[in-house]
Amino acid sequence: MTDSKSATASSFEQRYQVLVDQSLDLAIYFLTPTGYVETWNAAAERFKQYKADEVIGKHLSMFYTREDQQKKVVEYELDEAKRAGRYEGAGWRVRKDGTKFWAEVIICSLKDRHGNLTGFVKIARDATEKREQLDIIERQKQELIELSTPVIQLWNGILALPIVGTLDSQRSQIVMEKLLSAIVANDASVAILDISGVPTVDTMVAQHLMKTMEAAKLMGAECIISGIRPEIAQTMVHLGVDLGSIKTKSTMSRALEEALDILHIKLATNGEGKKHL
Amino acid sequence: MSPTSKQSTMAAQTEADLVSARHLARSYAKDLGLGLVDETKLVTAVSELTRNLIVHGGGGSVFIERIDEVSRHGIRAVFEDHGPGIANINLAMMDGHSSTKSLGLGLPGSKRLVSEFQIDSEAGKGTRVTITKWK
Amino acid sequence: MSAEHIPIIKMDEFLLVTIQEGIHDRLAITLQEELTAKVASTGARGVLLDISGLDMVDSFLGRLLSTIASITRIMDAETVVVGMQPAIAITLVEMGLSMPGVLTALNVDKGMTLLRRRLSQAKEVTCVPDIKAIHDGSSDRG
Ligand SMILES: Nc1ncnc2c1ncn2[C@@H]1O[C@H](COP(=O)(O)OP(=O)(O)O)[C@@H](O)[C@H]1O
Ligand SMILES: [Mg+2]
Repeated sequence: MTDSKSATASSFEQRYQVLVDQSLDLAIYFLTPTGYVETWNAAAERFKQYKADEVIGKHLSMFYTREDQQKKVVEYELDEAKRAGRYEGAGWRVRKDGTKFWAEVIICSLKDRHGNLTGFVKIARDATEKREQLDIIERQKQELIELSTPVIQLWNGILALPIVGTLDSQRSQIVMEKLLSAIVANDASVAILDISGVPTVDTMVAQHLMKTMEAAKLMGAECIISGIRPEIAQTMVHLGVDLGSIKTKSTMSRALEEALDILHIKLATNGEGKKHL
Repeated sequence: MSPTSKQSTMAAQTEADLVSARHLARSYAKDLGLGLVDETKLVTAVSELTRNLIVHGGGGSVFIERIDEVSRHGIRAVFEDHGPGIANINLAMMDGHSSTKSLGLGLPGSKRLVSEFQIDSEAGKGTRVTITKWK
Repeated sequence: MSAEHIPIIKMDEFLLVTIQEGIHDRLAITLQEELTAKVASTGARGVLLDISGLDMVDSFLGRLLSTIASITRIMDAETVVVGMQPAIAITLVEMGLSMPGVLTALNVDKGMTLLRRRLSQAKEVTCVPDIKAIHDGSSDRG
């Protein structure tokens, strides 16, 4: 290492080594072509709690959950990296003390001049916090969908589901299932789906609504849609949605009248012909 | 740990096999935690395609496997027979088309019940239908 | 196998059939034959097909239900399919099998009420206006 050329080379290696060693947030280490750990760095030690001498020579799968081991996730990831040159993914990994952390990983395959696989470099980050936040957001989203679709018993045998907010395909699906199971749970022969609080309806959602009605019918219940706003009526007609077979009412109270009628319930009327509830 | 193994194959010749195929599909669906609606859709599709095997294909085999990819999980089922095959697949896939005066909803209907649907058939050789339902 | 039957129970002027899970094709066909014979021999005015115990209805069973309904109608007995589970209803709709013309009800009680109402309507074609609420009247908020 006396000539200047190799000095430069070693200083490049040194610089690289410093970079890897001092990297606090990225675990960077090399793997053999069959997935055995060859090198280790400080961040890897910090995330996984293993010292270099405890892991070097061991197989990568030791950091994976038992479930992932059974599913051969490591093999899958390495195969992907080999095939595409690079694999990017995320998953729960196990620390030395048995606790889990969420790892975001990139695996790149390393090849020699002839294209033969010489190994892999794996770069990983502990993204547990981010993952937990995403989980919370997802859970809150689900709860919100649940909360935003209350089922109200208006009358013996009559349910109302006022829907407020955007109806996308996913939410329509949830609403549909909720309505149908509420019909069974409440022994309700009529359900009113009020969409006056829904800003727009696209073809998918309109189709979900139609399917809901049809399914209710098969179960032996009637479904009435109320609160179709003029814009939505126009959209639906423009979209060519055929509401022919569906009962629609402009307001919830008209829908209720219709529902009572379906159940053959007659209400007492006063002099002005207005109905008392 | 899990009651169901990763994959199963069964012969489908008789009506009793049809009931078994439904049960098998249901146990895979439950094991995966598909949810009742998707579970029912899968079992119904399996029922349709197994019946086709028996009625139109003269019997064959039903293969079911659990698929675990890194980011998605699902169930795949393959229905294979060496019966007469289907000369015109497009026609067979049409709602209401049936060579036996039944409803003709088995193929197009089960396609709508699953995430992926593939049919390969050759007249005189046999038919293979592959369906996948992702969680 | 041939000894297997689905019991058909007589309730007033109606017949009640409870279809169980795991029904196979031949048994279903047997049911169709026995049921039509029974409608004829008893002069029943309606049939209740309780499918609440079924966890799946495919196009074969769906068609069978429609066929039974059509045959009994010709024999002057309406058929009501009762108790279809939501997941099955969603599946049938998705498949494109909506069984048009088949009467449905949430449960056996409601199915009976429906059949009675239709019978009384048929009897009193001339007097339309004030048919009493046949709804079980337990509306606790009235
Ligand atoms: N496995 C099969 N082998 C041969 N022909 C088949 C097979 N599956 C379906 N077919 C053909 O496709 C047609 C449509 O099938 P399907 O949609 O299930 O309706 P159905 O079974 O009610 O006739 C059948 O009538 C039959 O001619
Ligand atoms: Mg078929």
